[in-house]
Amino acid sequence: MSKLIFITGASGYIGRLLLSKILQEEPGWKYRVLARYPEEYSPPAQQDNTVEVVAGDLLRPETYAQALAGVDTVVHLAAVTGAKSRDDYFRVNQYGTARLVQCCRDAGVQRILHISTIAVKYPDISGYPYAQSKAAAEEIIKTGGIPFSIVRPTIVWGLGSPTYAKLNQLARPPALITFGRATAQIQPIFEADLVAFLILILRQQIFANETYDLGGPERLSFEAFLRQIYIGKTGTEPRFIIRVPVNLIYSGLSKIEQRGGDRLPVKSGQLSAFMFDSIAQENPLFASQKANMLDVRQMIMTTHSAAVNRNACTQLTREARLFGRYLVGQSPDEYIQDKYVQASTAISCLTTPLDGFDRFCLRVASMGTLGLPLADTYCTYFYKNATLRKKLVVMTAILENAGPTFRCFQSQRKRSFLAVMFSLGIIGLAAGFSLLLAGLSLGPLHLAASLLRKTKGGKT
Amino acid sequence: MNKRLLVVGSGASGVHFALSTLRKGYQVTMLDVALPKPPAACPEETLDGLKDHLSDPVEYFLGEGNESIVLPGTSDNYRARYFGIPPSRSYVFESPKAFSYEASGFEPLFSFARGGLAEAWTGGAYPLEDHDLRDFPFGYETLEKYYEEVTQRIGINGTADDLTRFLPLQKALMAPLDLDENSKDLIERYQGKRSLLAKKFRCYIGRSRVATLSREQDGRGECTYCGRCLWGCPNESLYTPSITLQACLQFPNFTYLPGLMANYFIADSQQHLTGIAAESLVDGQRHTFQADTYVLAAGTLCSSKIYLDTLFKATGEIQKLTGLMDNRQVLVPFINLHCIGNGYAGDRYQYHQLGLGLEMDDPAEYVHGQITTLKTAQTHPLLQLMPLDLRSAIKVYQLLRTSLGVVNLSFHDTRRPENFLSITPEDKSGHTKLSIQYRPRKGQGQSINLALKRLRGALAELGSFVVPGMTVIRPMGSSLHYSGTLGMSEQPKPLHTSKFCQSYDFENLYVVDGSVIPFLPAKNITLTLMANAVRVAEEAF
Repeated sequence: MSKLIFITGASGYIGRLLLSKILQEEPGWKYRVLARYPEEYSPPAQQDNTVEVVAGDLLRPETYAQALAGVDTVVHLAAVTGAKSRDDYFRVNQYGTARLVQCCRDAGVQRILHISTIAVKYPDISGYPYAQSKAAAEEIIKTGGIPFSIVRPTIVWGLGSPTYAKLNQLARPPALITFGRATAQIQPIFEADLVAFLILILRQQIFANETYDLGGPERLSFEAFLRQIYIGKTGTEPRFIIRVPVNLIYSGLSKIEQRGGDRLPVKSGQLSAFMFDSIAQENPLFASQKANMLDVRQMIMTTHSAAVNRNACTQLTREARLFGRYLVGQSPDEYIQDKYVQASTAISCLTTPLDGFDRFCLRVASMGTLGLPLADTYCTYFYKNATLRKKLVVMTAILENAGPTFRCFQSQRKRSFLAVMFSLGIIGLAAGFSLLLAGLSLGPLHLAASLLRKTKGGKT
Repeated sequence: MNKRLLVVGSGASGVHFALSTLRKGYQVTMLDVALPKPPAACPEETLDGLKDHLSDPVEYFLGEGNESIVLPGTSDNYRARYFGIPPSRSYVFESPKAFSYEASGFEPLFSFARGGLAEAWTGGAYPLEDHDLRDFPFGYETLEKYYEEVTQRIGINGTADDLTRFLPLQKALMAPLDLDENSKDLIERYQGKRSLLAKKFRCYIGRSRVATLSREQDGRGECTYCGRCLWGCPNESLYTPSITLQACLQFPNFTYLPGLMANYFIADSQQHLTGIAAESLVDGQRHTFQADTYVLAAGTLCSSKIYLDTLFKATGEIQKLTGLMDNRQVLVPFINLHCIGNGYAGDRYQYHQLGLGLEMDDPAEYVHGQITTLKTAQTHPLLQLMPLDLRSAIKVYQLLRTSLGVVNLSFHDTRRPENFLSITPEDKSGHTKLSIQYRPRKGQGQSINLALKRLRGALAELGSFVVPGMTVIRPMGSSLHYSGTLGMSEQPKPLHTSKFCQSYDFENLYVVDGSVIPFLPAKNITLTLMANAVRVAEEAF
């Protein structure tokens, strides 16, 4: 059984997922994670300090060499991906890997799990420096003299994956955008299934110097995948498909890159996925896990609902800050924001506005400084059951029961009767003015909305 | 002596009956649903300390599912709206799945908790006097020593003052608790105007009688003024029946059977009870228990249901138990102008510290009030009622908080045939449903108006005014002083009990809870229920 694991790239996309999952499943193991910027990295919640953060840089072995003492397995996830310069790819992916393997050998590390990419298998990687650098890294691992496993995932799908962000842009209503005919076959894998596969290797100590291709359980064309993403998002087929001529763009990008254009947002190599198949070669280990994996539809739906929740949470968190500032004059802390998000999701009458005007009031309120007091005032007098008021009451209830905001409901110092009366007078005047403004601005709209509803009701 | 007694229920009556009979050497078995009390969170913290230091204060104060949030325009949060029951005490009002009811004109609460409804009471402990006991088959003289006994057992604080004319004084009373600023101001102003208030409004104010310790007793600590009363006293200085249950558990002749819901008694053809059928809450299994004498103390509604089920099992007939009573309660919020501008202080006793009596032409129709000054109660239910946007409402509330108070007025009730309990036929699972009907007393509206008029006048004399539009007449069932369905009667008649609370239908059955009360005065009945249970234990056993 592995006891002490060293992870590179723990703050990256897969690294974060792997560490939080493995901490749940193997809380008895110890972990050391390499972080270039430890002040910006916080490991997942854990018991008994099982995670030790090592401040260091893959390219400067002296910063982490000592931390490899006593380590029996290294998980090497760190890599430069995305649209970067050729030099960056090679410096980190090849040179960094070589330094790491050297240090591992010196420290007596017994096993290395290296995460590569399916792109190393593309028939032509001459214009794809990322794939070249990863292929070089594989060679270093294979010849490093330490028992290893290499995993080559295909396209990884999940809320935090780079692929998710990019393909979502291509599958936006009303059209679907593809590069070329997008007939290349792909085999996307869900992020959690990749993590489960890595944990399986670590737990069963499968280090027989093998390379494992890893995909999801289903193969389909790139265009079919984009179509499914579109349907998952909208529930309908795309109205039309825009096919961008991939060869033209590819050669254009290549030429610019050859002339030193390193700052392009997209690299020609990244288009390779549209041109070449990204499918995993069958192997017994992959086959044994297939039945537990999400198929394409499932992974799209799971990610889509997670994205919807995340967007709703973002909106509710914004609302919590706005309401907190409005009600007690201070921005609520994260705890209060979380409690507001939880309550707003759990209390059913807060999730669906009663009618169009109710929704309109929420929109006016979301405008903040001016809109919120106006909408609140209007609803207090003329629309008592408005969702906005319920939401504000929920926020009030939370604010009055948590520190430090509960003190905003208590008057700590003694004041004279006259001072209190003066304050009450000011509040009264302000409330009166607010009522006047709210009545003049929202009143006619409310009236129009109810007349419209009545007319509609009469017709039906 | 080896007579076996079986007591159903661990509420205020049951535990005091059990303690007295245990002391006399009886073998006492207590059958109890016994939903347990969760341990107090961080007992050493003050209320503000809890909000600062609990890891999840919002869950503690508002509940896991936010059930204590009162939202505008929703009626589904009845409990939170009318009772303000915090999550830490919601166990008191949970019901087993096998129990169900239907009610008309009545909003009942049931308790299957260890200790019963009084686990969530506010400690008001008032002795009745002869006027209040006029329909009882005995007078104050009979009850006096038992009031004294219970006062010693549970610890009640109070003092001789203008309310003594309505509330006889027990020798064992402890010194009253320290008053908060608002209550202190009210009572001081009252001292200067007492003869005017008596003459003009027949209104008397004095210290409340409260079952909270002002000095240590029997291992219970004195009140520490931590401000947590509403969420459950963390050091047991506020009395609850589970404290007496703990005392009972020290007796070797006591057998406590928790987790069992009593269904009905088994009667032979001679109307003699031979056992009680009960079901386990864990696995639903039915069990039978035997004793020589059976004692019902499950609270009026549950005891009556067991009684009705017993009659149904024995005769096949569904009966009605008439005479259900409860105090009508009216909440009257007020502002004490003299306390405006005082600084907030949450470390005070939170329940009523002052009592108020309104004398009526018929002394039995006396109206009792408890004056609670608002300090730590949840504010959001009140803020949303104010005619202001919420931000302004918070500011206004913050300025006025220390001057706010509420008078909880209680009105008497009488046994009337139109108010009854019955049961519906058994469902597939073999359970009947309790059926409740209540219609208010004719003329109650006038009584309420008269009392409100006099109260408004009296408060105005003290520099306080009643907040317009915020007086709430609570629905019947809110006061939780359910009583009268098996009233004591000296004349033997079916569906009644004797002076010693012995059933006229089953000779070896006693009923010692509120069911036997023949008249419900405005004063909270809990102390009398405990004293009466002790009386039965002492005089009939």
